[in-house]
Amino acid sequence: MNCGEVRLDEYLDGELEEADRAGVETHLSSCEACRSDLDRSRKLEGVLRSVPAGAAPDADRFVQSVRLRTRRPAPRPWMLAAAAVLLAAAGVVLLRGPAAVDVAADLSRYAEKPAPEIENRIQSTGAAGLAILEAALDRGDVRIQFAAASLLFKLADGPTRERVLARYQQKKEPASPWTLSEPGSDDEDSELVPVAVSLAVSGQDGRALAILQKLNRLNRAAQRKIVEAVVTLLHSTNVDVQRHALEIVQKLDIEFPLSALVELLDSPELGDEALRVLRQETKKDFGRDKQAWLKAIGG
Amino acid sequence: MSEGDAMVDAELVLKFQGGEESAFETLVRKYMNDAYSFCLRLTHDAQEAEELSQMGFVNAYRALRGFRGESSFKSWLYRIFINQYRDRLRRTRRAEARLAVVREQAERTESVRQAALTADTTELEEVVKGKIELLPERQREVLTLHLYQSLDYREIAASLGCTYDDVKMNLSLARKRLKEELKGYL
Repeated sequence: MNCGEVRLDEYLDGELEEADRAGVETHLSSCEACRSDLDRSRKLEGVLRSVPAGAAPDADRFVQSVRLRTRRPAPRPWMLAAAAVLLAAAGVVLLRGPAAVDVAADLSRYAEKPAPEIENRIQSTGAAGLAILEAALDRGDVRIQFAAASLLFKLADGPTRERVLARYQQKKEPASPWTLSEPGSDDEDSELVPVAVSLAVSGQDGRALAILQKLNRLNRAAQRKIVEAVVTLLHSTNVDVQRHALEIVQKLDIEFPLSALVELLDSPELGDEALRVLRQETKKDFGRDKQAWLKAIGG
Repeated sequence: MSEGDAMVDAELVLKFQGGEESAFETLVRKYMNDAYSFCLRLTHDAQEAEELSQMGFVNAYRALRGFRGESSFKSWLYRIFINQYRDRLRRTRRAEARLAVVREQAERTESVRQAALTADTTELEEVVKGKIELLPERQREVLTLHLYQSLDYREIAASLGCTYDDVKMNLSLARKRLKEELKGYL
């Protein structure tokens, strides 16, 4: 074996079979240059490995966030209605194991400052908590309404989100309490997102789309919320809502998981458009083969 | 990765596919730190790394029912993170801008290279990060998966969707370049 044949990297990485290892070791015992090269490789490994990655995120918060993004509770409409009636009569403190959750108070806190622990607490109350949120959409305080809409978009099931959507699509007249002021770069502006998206998917409110465009440029928290809201709407059962969500994706040029588009490939109404966007974004073409697309984009 | 570890993963995947949702949470807890640190090494941005790694798990959740075990779960998962990262890189069109910033950083750190020889490790870390960042994308991915995620060549090939020989070649090229560029530290 001469120096050109010695597979030092594979030797170092434990990739060689026993016979090949022995061959390399025999060569090393008589070749100063290769020993020196191996030594430098080991030193390089040491230097490279000495660079820390950085502190890991909090495990519970991380897992909770993944859970929120993958699962949505699915309360039945009659349960929602029954819970709303019962809660209206009995107050709004829900029992969650040994601890009580005051959803209305949590909602007020969330309107002041959104926090994952509040989302978790409200989610733990299930259908009853969501019913309180839905009822809060009628409250006079606009920030409470924003908070309730925002939470419902995060926590509720498809039909509930459709109801929220329908509700805000009806509130477009000048007398509406909604005053979508021009956003700045304040994080709280991201609270506008669920409502602005709701209005924008109506396809008629140009102002909402303009606000989304501005938020998308200025506010990172808002960007994430826009993606969440749009992906949610792409899963809507209403074709028009899906179509407008697709338009938002293109008009805002937002980052969002392409796998959401793959799911639209089966749609008789939107399949062609979804395929066009997928081709444009990836410069690839797998036609209507969803598995091939998912494999290609890792979704 | 030990065979036992892979067995545990395979059992968890089967449980999840059988309807046991908590099995997925176990997998998330098992791999979240690796996933996050991997994304952080690729992006150098804590917020982006958290977002990428979370979305990677969300995509894994959606695709896991169709996972047939052709590769190990770990390789399959890293493939999702890699695709997620590439997807984002492409969509944000920030690759060039990022490279320009890093190049500037690398030049700056190069100027303090001599000082770093005798200084604390923070400066050395900056130099090393800058040099890794300047590697061609494929070499950087291979090196990161090998060095920091402890994947073997076959696992890396499965994660990146390339051949064993591609992994070997890219790792070798990365090492050769880094040995030259970091020779003052070796």
